Amino acid sequence: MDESRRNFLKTIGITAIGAGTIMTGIGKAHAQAKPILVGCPVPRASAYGQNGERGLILAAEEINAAGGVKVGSVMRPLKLEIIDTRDEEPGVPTSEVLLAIEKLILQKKADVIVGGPCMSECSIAAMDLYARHKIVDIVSIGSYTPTWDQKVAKDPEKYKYSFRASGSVKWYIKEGVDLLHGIKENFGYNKMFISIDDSLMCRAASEIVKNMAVKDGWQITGFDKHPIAATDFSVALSDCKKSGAQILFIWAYAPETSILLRQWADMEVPALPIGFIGAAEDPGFWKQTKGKGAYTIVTLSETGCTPSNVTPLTKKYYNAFQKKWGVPPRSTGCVSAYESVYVLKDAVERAGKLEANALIAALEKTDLPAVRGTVRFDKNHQIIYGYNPKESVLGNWVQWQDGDRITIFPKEGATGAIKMPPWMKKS
Amino acid sequence: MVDILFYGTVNSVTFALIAVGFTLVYGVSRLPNFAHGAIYVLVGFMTWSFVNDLNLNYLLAILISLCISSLLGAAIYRLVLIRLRGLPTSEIIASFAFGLIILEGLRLQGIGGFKGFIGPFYVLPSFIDAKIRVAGMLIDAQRLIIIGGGLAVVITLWLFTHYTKIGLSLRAIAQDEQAAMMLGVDSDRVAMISLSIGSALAGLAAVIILPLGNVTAEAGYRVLIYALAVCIIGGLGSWGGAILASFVLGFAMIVSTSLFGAVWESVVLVGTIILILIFKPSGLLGKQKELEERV
Repeated sequence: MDESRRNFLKTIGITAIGAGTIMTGIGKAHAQAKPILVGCPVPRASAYGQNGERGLILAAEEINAAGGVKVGSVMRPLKLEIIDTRDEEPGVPTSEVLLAIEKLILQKKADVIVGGPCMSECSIAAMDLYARHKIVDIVSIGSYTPTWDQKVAKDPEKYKYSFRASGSVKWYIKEGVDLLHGIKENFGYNKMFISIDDSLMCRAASEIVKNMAVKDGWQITGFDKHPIAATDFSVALSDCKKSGAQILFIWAYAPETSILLRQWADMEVPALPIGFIGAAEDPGFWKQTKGKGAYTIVTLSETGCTPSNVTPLTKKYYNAFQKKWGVPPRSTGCVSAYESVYVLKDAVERAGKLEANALIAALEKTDLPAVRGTVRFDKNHQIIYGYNPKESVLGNWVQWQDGDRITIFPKEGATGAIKMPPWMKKS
Repeated sequence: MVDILFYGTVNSVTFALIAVGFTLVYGVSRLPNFAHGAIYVLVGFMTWSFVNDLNLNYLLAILISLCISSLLGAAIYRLVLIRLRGLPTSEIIASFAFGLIILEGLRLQGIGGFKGFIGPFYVLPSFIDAKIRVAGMLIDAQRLIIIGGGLAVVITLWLFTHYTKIGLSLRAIAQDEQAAMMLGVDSDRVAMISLSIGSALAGLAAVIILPLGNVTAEAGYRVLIYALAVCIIGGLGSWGGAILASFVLGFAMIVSTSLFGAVWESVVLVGTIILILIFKPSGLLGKQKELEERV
C-alpha cells in the first residue's frame, strides 16, 4: 500500500471516529435531557381507563419520536408514570384513589398530572389535592359531572390548577336533545319511552332530558328505572311496546344494557334505542349481541372514535390508534386522553417552562387544532364542546349498522344517515 | 297478562336452576356451599375461553367445563370442608373464601400476561338463535330452552335420587345420617359426591342461563344471594321447597316490576325473606321443627 493511500485511509478513519464520537455525544445529550414526568392516574380495570391509557401512550410515543417537548431551548422527552387508581372497581373507596394520585405527586415527583381518575367523585376530590400540591392537572378520561366546573367556578383561584379536557354531561344531554329534535323533524316521531340505570347520574340526566324533550314537543309514554346489573328487561320492554313509543331513550352505563338491547331485538320493540349506553360504545358490541344491537344509536362522546374528516387530524388519529393497538378507539377517554398530552406539549412550549403558574396561563390560552376539533377551555377550565370544529371540539353519535359504528350526528362529522329496523319501517 | 305469565315462568325456572345445586348440597350434607356463585361464573368464563381461545366445539367446551366444576366441588370438600364439618360458621367462611379467590382471581390482571375477565365482552352463544310468536308475543328460543332445561334438570335429579345407588345414598344421608352410616353409607364420600354434583349443577345453570346475558365476575355474588334467598324461602335443604320458592320469587319479582318498577326487585326479594322468617322460619316446606316451635 503506498503512502498517499495509507494517509487517505487514516484521514477517513479519524473522520469516522470523530463523527462517531460527536454523534454519540449528541445522542447522549438527547438521552440525558431530563424527561418531563407526566403522572397518569388511570383506572385500569375499566374500559374507559384502558382506552384512555392507550390514548396517552400513543400520544407520548408520537411526541417522543418527533423529538420531544421544547422547554425553553431544550428538547425534553415525555415519560409517563401510569398508576392504577382502581376507581370504577366495585368497593374501591375514593380515599384509595387519592392515595394513588398522591403517590404520583410525592413519591414519583410528577411534573404534571394527565388522565384520570374517571369517576366524578374521585376527580372532584382530587382537585383539592392538586390545589394543595400546586400541580397542574388535565383530567381527560370520563369525569363528566357538571359539579366539576361548578367547583372551579366557586373558587377559581384555589382550583386554577385543574383543567378538564374530557366532556361534560351538560353538553351530551344537549346533543341528545338536538338529535331527537332532528328525528322528530325527519321521521315525524313524538313519543318517547325512557329507560335508565338506577344511579344518581342517570336519574339526574334523564330528568333533564325529559324536561327538555317535553319542551320540544315530545310525549313521554313511560319510564323505567332498573337496578344496575339487572338482567331481565322484559317488563319494561313490554310496557314500551304497549305505550306506542317510537323512541326508546336509554341512559345507562352498566354492561348489562347489552342484554336490554338483545331483548329489544328479540321482542321486536318498535321504538328506536338512542342514548348514553356504555355497553353499546364498544367496538365488540356487535359480536357481543350477535348483531342484535343493530340500529342502536349511542354517543361515543368524542369525534375521532370513528373515521371521519372533522379535522385533518381525525382520520390520522383513528388510523394510528388502530395500527398501534389493533382495535379502533372505543369511546370516552380514547381521544381526550390522547389530545391532552398534545395540549400539555403545546402549553409547555408556549410557557417555555414547567412552572405551574406559567403553565396555567398558557393552558388558559389554548387554541389547538386537534382530533375532535379545536381545543379551547372556558373560564372554568372546562373544554368547550360545540358544533363548529374551528371553535370547539365535537361529540360523536353513532348508529350500529352492519357491524360498524356509523357517525350520524353531529352533521359536521356524519358519515351516514339513520336507518330504521325492519319492524319499524312503514309499509 | 301472557307476557307476565311467560316471563314469570322464565324468571322462576332461572331461580330454580340457580338454587337447585345449592339446595342439593345443603340437603344432603348440611354444608352451605358459599362458593356456589363463584363456580357458576367460573364455568361461564371457562366455556367462553374454550370456545373463543381454544376454538373448541361449544358442546365439548360445556362438557369439559362441567367436568372441571364437578372436580372442583369434590376438591373443595376433600381439601377444605372435610376438616370443618359440623362447624357451620367455619364452613361458611371457608367456602365463601374459596369463592372469593375464584371471583377475584378471574378479575386479576398482569400475572403471566393474564388480562383478567373484565368488561361486557364475554357472551356465551345461544343454543338456537330463533324466535316464535305465541299469543301475539315474540318469544326467543333461549328462554324456552331455560324452561325446558329447568324441567329436565328437576326430572333427572328426581330419577337419579330415586333409582340409582348413589342417589339413594344421597337421600339416605339427607334423611338420617347416622342410620345411613350404620347401613354402610360413607358420609364423607356422599358429601363429596353431593358437592361435586351441586357444583356441576351450578355450572349447568350457568351454561343454560348465561347466553341471555354477559358473563361477569360480579354476577357470582348475585347468584349466591339468589340461591340463598330461594333456599331460605323454600326451607333449607328442601328440594320441593326450593322449586316452590323459585316460583314465588320469580312471579313476585315480575309482578312487582310490572306494577311498581324494576327498582323494587331487591325490596321484594329481601321483603319475602323477612316475611317468611317471621311467619314460617323453617321456610315454605322446611322441616326444622325447632325453628317452628320458636314462633
